[in-house]
Amino acid sequence: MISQILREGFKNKTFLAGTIIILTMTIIAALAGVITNYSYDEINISNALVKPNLQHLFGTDQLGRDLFTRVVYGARIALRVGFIAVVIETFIGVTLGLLAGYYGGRIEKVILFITDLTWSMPPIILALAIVTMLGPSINNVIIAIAIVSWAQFTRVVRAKTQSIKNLPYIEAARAFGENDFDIILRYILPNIVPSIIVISTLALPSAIMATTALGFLGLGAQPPTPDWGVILSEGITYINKASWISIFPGIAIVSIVVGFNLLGEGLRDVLDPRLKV
Amino acid sequence: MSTIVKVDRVKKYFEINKGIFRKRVTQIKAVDGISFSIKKGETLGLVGESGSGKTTLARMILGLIKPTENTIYLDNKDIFEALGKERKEIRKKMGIIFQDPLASLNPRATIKESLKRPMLVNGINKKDMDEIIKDTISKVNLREELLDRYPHQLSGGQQQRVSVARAIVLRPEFLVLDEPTSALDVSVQAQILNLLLDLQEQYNLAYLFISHDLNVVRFISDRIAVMYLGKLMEVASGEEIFNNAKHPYTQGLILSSAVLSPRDRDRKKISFAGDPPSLIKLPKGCRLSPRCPYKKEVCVEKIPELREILPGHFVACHRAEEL
Amino acid sequence: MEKDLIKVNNLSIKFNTKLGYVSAVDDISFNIKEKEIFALVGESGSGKSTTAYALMNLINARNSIKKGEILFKGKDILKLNEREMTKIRGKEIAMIFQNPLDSLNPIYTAGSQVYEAIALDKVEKREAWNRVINIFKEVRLSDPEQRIKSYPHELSGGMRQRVMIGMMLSRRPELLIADEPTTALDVTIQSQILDIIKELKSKFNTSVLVITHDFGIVAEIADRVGVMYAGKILEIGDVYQIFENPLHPYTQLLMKSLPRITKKEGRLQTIEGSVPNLTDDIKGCRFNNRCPYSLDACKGEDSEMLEIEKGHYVACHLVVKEK
Repeated sequence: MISQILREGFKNKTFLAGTIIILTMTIIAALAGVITNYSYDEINISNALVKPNLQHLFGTDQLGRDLFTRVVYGARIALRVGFIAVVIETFIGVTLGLLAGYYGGRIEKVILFITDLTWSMPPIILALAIVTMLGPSINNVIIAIAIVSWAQFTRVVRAKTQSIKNLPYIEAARAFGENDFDIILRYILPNIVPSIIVISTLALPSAIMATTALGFLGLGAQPPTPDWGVILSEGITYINKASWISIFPGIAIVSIVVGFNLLGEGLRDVLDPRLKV
Repeated sequence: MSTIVKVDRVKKYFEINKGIFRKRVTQIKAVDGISFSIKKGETLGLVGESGSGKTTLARMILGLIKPTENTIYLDNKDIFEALGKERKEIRKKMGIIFQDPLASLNPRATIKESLKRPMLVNGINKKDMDEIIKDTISKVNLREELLDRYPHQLSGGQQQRVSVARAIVLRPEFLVLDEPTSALDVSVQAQILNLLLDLQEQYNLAYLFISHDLNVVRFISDRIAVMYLGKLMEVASGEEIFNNAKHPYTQGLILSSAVLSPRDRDRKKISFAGDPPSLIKLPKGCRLSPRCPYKKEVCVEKIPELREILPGHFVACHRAEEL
Repeated sequence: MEKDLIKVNNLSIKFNTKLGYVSAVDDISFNIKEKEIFALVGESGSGKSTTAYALMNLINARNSIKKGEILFKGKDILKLNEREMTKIRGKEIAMIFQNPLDSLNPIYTAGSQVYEAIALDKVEKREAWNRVINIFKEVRLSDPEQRIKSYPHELSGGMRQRVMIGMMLSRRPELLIADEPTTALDVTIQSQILDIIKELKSKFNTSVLVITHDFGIVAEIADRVGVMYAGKILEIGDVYQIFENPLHPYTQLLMKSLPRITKKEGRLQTIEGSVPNLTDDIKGCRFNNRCPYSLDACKGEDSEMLEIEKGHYVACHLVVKEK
């Protein structure tokens, strides 16, 4: 599969563009400490609201902190929260999807009922409710995002499982004595992995958007954490005097979201052309 | 010769439920009281059209689904009562080969992995596995370098050989062959049929050979069983079935099956009126009665039993002697 | 002697694929006379279906190269534009496919789909519906008044194929192309469909081109046969010549690989090796790598089609030499 991605992926412009954007952002986030000499929470009031210049590429904010440093560290948070949330939701969604698709019957009915229930609620409002209940913090944001977005995995995985489980090679495996656990893990799951990767990649931008949205509303990361949502909301107050405080994290959000979307779309073309709706 | 498989009055009814209270609306009698046995080293051909229940029957023999009533014995052991180690022993003695060669293999596993799994599951010593795989792959006339390939990299004939290899890797005594050559080209079909015969001689394998192609069934079978809508219509040796068929359905089937010489094209056919009735609304008497050109009153009223009219020749027809 | 309805001269079709040009059909010539059933028989990848699609001018021009000519009543089909072709397609040349369920629109009744076909010829409404019922009778659908109101999913496979044939017949085409018309069907249904196709010829003087891999179908209905292999026609003759006096080694081997014997009488003939890769620039006879009688000449240049006996053409150096 990896060789397939490498072979066909680089012929696919969408995939290539997405990879470049995401790779750049990941490298910058990883090397944050090397790229900038400032620290993201060092306050220097005398240096507040400086326009972008050579010392401060993105300018400084209302407390005199270097905005470039804050946006770069913010990329770390966005990527980390996004990845953890997506890993959790993939795990929940795929497990339930496999169970529902393979066993059918009552198990499937219960799982589908919960799935539809989750699906039918507006995700950001549900996430808001969960975070309000649990209290504002990054970890709770991750939990909230995972809870609201696993359902899409369940639906796709269930449908795929159903179409695979009656194929002759599964029947043959059952005939020579494979148990249900091995059939699901060794015979069904590997054949759905490409779709799962695609959906996961496409789920990342929504998870990052949700993180920043919650941060913006003051329910996610708390100041002085350089979460993009937090920076944005702080910048709102100064939007007339110092628009750069809002503009740069905004650009960062847009590029990461576009990057992952391109990557996901590209992967879909390469790995799973039939998934296209 | 001793018996390897004994199917004893097996029935499989599927229930159709509807509504919130899952009320039983109707029943589909897919397999309705079928008995036969297969001896060691023997091939029983099973023919029947779609809806005859032959695939359901095959799945029960493999233990994949349970009969609604009665049971199946392998080597005198009830396959649905065996537990633990005994169950494993029974499984090792059976194998299956399906029609669609590509769909029969896990697309994400190499040929080697596909051949290894049955041995791992059934507790074959890991040290012996490579040796067994090598031996098996040469038995089905495949080259060893194919072992590291994936199914889609093989031709249809090669894929079907891998399926055969997987079925015999545990050295079974009995194989269910479910239309094993229907998806293959004529020349490849010949290769696979010859291979199956070679393996049968070598391992004294018994086959249940399911097919709709009567020419293929005639070639490979010792005895042939004809199924229609969940019941056996006729069971006899291959020669008897083709030269001395007693059941109107068998006669019709033989005459409508494709000939392999243009000289035979003007043979007289027996035509059955209409399409087979649905399994939900089965006729009261003989299942063929609504379509049978020879039906009498008794055929509409009473279900004919399978009875032996000549030594080894069984027919389920009230009028077998007259026809 | 009947006139030629269709005459294919030196037709070649190459497809541009990722792996380079694939020559699916290579310099083939054949003709179909009026009132005749011509069968193109070959194994998968032989180019028989590509030929059929070319006759309907359904080959995508963008990724293919076509050479030669297909003369239908004197007009070259390959030179017609889409508008002119639409007038011929369905009206003068019709086609039925292997899977009848995919070929019918699931959201319209069977009757209305046939009606639509008839209405294309600006027939008055009541008259058109009468014709629908007549056509349903012609293809022997029981209870046609009811059947015209049925949706495709309510019909059995055999009925659907009969509706498809009916739809194709409704405009009285002069040539019917049947691409594996009975592959997915049961034996008895297959025989009914073949009878209907035979009747077409005798009743309406329709010519039929049957594309199949099944020699049973060929033996059953064909008047003349072309044997295809790897994009070439190797042999053309009437059905008795092909079955009883095959000249090309490939045809001879195929005939012996048909299961016409029982296992007691021996094994089936097989053909060693595999079909050559059509992307390679093949020199000489395409069968020479598998041919047991291969001569030096076979590796050099391709043999011309020669008429060995009346109406019996073969492309083989060996046959030429022996003569």
